[in-house]
Amino acid sequence: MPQTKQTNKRRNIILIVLAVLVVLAGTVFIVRNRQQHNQQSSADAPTVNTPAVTEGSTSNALIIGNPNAPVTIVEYGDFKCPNCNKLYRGALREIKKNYIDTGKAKLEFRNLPYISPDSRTAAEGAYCANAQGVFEAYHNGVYDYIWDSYYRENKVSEGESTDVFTVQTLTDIATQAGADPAEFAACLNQQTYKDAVTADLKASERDKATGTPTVFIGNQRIIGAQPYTVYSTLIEQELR
Amino acid sequence: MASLGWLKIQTAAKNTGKVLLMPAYATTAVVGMFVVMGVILWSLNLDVLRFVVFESGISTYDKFTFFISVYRGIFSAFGNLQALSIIVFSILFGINLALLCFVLLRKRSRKALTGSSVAGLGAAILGGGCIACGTSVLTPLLTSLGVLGATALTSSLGVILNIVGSILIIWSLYKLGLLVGTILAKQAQAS
Repeated sequence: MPQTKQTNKRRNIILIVLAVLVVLAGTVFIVRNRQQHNQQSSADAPTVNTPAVTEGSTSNALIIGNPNAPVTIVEYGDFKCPNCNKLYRGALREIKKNYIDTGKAKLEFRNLPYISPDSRTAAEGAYCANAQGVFEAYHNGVYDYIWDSYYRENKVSEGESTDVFTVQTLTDIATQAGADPAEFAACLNQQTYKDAVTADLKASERDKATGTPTVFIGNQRIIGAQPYTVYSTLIEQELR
Repeated sequence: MASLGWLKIQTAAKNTGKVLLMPAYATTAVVGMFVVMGVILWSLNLDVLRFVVFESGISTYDKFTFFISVYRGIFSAFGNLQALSIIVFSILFGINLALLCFVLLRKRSRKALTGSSVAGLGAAILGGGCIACGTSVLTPLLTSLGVLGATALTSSLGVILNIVGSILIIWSLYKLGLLVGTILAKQAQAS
């Protein structure tokens, strides 16, 4: 009996120690994550009408909506990111209907190609499409393509790890969006906007956008694909 | 041995049911469920929550609507499997909290404090967010280990952690359920 009690006691102690270690580890990660976020002072955070990026890509800014709209919603996204796709298919549709199409806000998309190498190709393609004035249709087309091909059928891992966005695929998408295919393909093959994507990455480091989607509205950073109410509350705050 | 183990599980489950039939503990379970779900869902955006609740000039009703929006949007913010795993974990945690309160109020013993329930909560918080996308509290660790990025592992890690959290909580429920049986038996003897 005493031996069973001892064994039980030892097992419980091991379990408790393991549990404490897991909680401690979790706390450290949470605190580190918070510290990384808090290092960004309010002066550094993008504010309304003041884009965070200043190096090179400002003139090519990827804008959806009226460029003169009073509120700027900055989104750091990766075209292969499943949660960015959720944001696009969910809250962003409502935001577009209620704020972007009504001229109250504009969306500035910044690339944070994170998931795999062809994320970068799609990111450069965004600038190539923007140069031909079809960024919004390209943006929607790219998200719809990977959704229809992989994410709708829950093939998330496959979609993330496969080389989905080839030059040909992106050219086809851009052509459907209204771009000239030869010009678009040449732009991609020559990596014309490689530096613009690099500028987006530098901006993401400065803004402490460590993942996708990360959205900035005013001084507030929203991480992950959140429900529409979260964004609309902050947009309304900015509109006051 | 197997039948003894199964009998113990049945006993723990029955005792859990008896506790949940008491209104105070049923309420505790429901409140605990919503609180822990809120912790998991808001863990990545606490700054935004703090700003809206304490610094914005919006009405109390709008603040409440803002806070609960993440509950309504759980399936739009997460994949179906991950959303379900968060809900299941939260329900189990709420029940665990109710049992813990019952045992602590009557037994007043540290034996009731199961480390597995705390570890389960830690695992569930770690499992929140999209790990492959970098929007997770695990991001700093995975970045420093050089394993961030889309792999089959990182894509599934969030769900795996929630499931691990649920397993830990179930173990805690089993232990507490058996303790509850002891307490109820003593109460029956005393009366």
